[in-house]
Amino acid sequence: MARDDDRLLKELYNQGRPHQGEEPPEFSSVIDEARSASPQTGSGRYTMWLAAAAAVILAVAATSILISPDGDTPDRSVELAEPVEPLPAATTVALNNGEQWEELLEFADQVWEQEYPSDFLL
Amino acid sequence: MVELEDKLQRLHAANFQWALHCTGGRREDAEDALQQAYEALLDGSASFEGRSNFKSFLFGVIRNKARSLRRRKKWGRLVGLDRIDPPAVAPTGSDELERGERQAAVRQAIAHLSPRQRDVLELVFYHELTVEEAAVVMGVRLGTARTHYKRAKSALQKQLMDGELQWQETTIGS
Repeated sequence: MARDDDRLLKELYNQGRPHQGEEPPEFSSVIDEARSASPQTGSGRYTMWLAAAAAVILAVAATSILISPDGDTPDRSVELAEPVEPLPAATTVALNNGEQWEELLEFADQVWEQEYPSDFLL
Repeated sequence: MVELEDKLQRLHAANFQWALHCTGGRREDAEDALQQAYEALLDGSASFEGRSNFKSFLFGVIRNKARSLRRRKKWGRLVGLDRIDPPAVAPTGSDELERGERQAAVRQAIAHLSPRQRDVLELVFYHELTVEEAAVVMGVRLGTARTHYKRAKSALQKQLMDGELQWQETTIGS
């Protein structure tokens, strides 16, 4: 596309884009609320570490519940009627990639929105 | 901390416009997303490490907060956050009427774009980010952002031209 076309398109877009003229809320009120809602810098990280430690403790507790009192892990293996084919390598690569996950979620969002009208209540 | 708040204040109007875009124009949601983004920066759960420029980083945080809000809301009630609002009150006077019609046509054309295409045009055309910076905000690779940008421009141009043709046919036919 020629540069002039780009410029014209940009001009048209900026003239017609939605939400024009919406005034932002006062910066001071937004930042004050953000300040009061968040712990001070540094303690946020502390909270994260605390949450991670709690998750580890819970995981250990859950594991100890799963192990029977005599110390043996109950046999939970399942016999499959047919052997399962492993996923193709490409699928694994795609799912390991953060961006692909993002695309997948985006796609799921779009399908969800197309399937259900906006006034549909759960 | 003061430096961070100064930066946020300088970009506050643009931040709010971007939050509005990300929440489909819902002011209340935009304010929530903005506040949550500022909160994340203040408490250190989102920290700028200089891998991109500050504006792209901040827009990325706002976008993520808007998306989380949107996902959370879907569980309670399904809402069309990507819906584009209809044009505002009809203007009076011939110049204003013409401008109003043009704006409505552009808005209609924008509504036909995919969410990703709308995002990239908003970032590049309105917020004047480069396609590279837009890729950072959108969390996609540069090549993907370039493709969205190119397709968005073609689709917008096509929509506008189709709209113009329909308008001419209606005018000549009446």
